[in-house]
Amino acid sequence: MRGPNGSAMRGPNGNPMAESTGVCVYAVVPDPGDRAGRAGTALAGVRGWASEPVRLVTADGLAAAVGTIPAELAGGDRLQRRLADPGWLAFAVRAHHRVVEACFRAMPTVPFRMGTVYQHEASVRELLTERATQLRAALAVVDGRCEWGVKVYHRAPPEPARQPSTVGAGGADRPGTAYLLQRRAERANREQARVAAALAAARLDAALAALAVAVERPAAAGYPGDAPAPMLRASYLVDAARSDQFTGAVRALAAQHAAVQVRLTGPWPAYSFVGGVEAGVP
Amino acid sequence: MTVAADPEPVLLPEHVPLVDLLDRVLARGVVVTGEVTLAIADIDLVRISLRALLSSVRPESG
Repeated sequence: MRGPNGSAMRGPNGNPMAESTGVCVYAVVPDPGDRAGRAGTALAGVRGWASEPVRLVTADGLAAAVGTIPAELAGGDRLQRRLADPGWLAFAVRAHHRVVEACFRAMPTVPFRMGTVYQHEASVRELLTERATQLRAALAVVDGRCEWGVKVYHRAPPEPARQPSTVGAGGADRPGTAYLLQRRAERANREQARVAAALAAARLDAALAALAVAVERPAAAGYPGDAPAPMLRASYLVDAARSDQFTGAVRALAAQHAAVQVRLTGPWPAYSFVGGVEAGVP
Repeated sequence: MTVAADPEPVLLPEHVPLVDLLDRVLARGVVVTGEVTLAIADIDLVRISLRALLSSVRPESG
């Protein structure tokens, strides 16, 4: 794991250069008031994607979990070079998530998109003040809830082994016809299996949505790693008190439907249910 | 990892497949404009790195 060396943060005399830093926002939580209390404990020892300690910046009853990052990570060519390194990106993504997760374990948490960097702490306070209404509404939505990710894949039926002898035996006189009939039967089987899987995915989604407060079904995956593409890719916002029921339902439904493969991840901080904060952005 | 194949499908954060993590951290969460100096997801180099990451790690299969 590569962390930044931190050299860009210090001048020749080893003095911090305040001008050459950025303030990275990871999440917004309610102002805990007592910073030495629960929130302080939650963030103690937690480090952000520049390996920097994370602190709370407060305004208007809200608090932002932030870290001061060196200028080289706040933009420009050096950041570009870092981002071109997949190993570093994976490190940074996990670090961002660790901070959000630490907040999420202790208090209602509105996750921010990775790479939200301000020049000054004062700008973060302005953000809290200007978006206070939306942020408070978002906190109310996620309070006491978590996100579960579900992906449903079509479990393709095993390809029937095409025995050379079958073609030979069935079509000694008309091998071409036998071959075409076999191909047609295979196509029909595949189509039937696909329809069965789609139906299973729809039933599963309906059953899970009934247990959730909200559902997000993002459009086609933007990432090439999601191959094969899932038939259903959904996030469910679930009351914490109902999480056991929800995961139990996923297990039961997965066992019922042999046509699909189900993958469940979570509980996540509510990354997918905080879109409301962006409303009203000029 | 699949529910059908595994009695314990709930993945701890450290073991969360990278694709699910990237999907949330880089594609969701609050985006604000204004004084923000950077939104990483907009940078093309990220996409190139993502492609490399995800083609090397395929947690989905199995």
